[in-house]
Amino acid sequence: MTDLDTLARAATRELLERSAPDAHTRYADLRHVRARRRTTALVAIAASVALVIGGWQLNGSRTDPIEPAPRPGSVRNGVLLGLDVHVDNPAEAWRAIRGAQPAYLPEDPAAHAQYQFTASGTEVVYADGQARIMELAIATGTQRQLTRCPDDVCAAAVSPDARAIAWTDGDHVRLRSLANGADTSIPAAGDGLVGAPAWSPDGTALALVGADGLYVVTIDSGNVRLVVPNRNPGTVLGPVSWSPTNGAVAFFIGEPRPFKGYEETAFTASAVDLTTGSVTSLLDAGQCFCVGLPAPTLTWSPDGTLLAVATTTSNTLEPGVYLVDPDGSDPERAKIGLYAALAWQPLTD
Amino acid sequence: MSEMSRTEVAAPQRARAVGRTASFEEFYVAELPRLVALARGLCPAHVAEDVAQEAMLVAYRRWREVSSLERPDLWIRRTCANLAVSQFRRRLVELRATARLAGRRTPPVELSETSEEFWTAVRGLPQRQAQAAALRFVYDMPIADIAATLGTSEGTVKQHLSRARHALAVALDATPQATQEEQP
Repeated sequence: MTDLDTLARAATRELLERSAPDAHTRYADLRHVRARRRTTALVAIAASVALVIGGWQLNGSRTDPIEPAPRPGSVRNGVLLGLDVHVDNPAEAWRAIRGAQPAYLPEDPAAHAQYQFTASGTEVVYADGQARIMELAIATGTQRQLTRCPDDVCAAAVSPDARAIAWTDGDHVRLRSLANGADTSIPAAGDGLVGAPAWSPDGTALALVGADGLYVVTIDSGNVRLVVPNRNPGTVLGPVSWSPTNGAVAFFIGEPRPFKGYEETAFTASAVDLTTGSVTSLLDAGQCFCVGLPAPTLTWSPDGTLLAVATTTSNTLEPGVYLVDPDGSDPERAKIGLYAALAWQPLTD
Repeated sequence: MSEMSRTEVAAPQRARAVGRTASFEEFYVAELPRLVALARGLCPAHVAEDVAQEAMLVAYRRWREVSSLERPDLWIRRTCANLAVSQFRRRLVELRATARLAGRRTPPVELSETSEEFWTAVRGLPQRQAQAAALRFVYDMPIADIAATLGTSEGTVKQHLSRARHALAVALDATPQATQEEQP
């Protein structure tokens, strides 16, 4: 049996020998990129000013408004799950924040996997450690593979009818049929699309974030609409969650915030009304460099009456999972501590 | 790791020496190669160089502040290690790599199967353990410097390294031998 140090020395030596970038050329690249980003920031500021003055962007560019989905009525809130980030083994980190913990939960999720209940609330869909998208029946523990992960990060979202997955790929929205594995794509405006999209409750549209802001994409027409421009290009607005009962999308607004020599990001949980374009601040979700800590996350309750927000470290607010009304009122702390991967189970009659 | 330190730690020491008084360009040239190796150890090959570059962009934008720190070298390593393991930040870097602004592409660092297996096992560790192990391996950093880089205590770093060694030994079917310094 080889000793670990011998393996480590050999692997590190090879890594160092082969990681030899031309530093002077890359320095020239860096100056170029920096100049381009400064220009992008100035353009974004100008766009924000135009938005304030005319308000034309949200109204004028909305060529294909999303109609509010029909209110389900019969959907109730089941268990709200989260992962306690202080527990290394995800299989032991599940916590029921509201309700009773199901008999079976994923034991082999990939780091940073996202979890999603199916519309019936009887299965959880997630990415496992072998880059597969799996479906687990929480009552029986039965698992099946839906598809392979589309990329190494595996930030894909399953449609409400569980017939397709969607993910983002730089400057495209990608869709894969789970029936036949066929992939299609929709070119999106701008670049830097990041993270898993959120499906609209009726499965006709997706909300997603990119470097330029929060977008809504209508799947049939391919129409892409910038709903909320990013005031701080480079910060990420995700994750996103689409209200199950009306045309609103919850997301995070990030602001760079210096702290002890590091540039942290301060997060505010927010929601945008897709009909009017008005943005409501819901909750200060803390700030972090997000080093070994999850960025905040959020999800709507299945009945649409609450949002669950897992906050991160903060100077003013104890980290925890907070339940807040859709207008930002009455925040209630449901759990103390740092949590990731919120998933709220729908119960249907 | 100690054998490696005598011959290979020279570059980071130069970076540390020039850190407080050097221009950003000198700092960049001294620190970049090993920073790329650190990123390559912690994230996929095709984004490693961009993760290192992204960390350098943050330092460039804030060089006046960063250069006044006691250890700008530790600052940049922390920034890079954080970028490499943070999902959202890494994802953003990955997407920028896809739609590269500068348009210049260098082939990703390819490793032999054995080395790739080793670094894949490192990347499979919990984040803090992976960061501590990568800093230890790539820079042969003393425990105190790893603690300062990650903003935690020496005891915690020892615990991370001890757990990392055990997990790596199991994953790679090897014998874990902690150095005297690493003993919790």
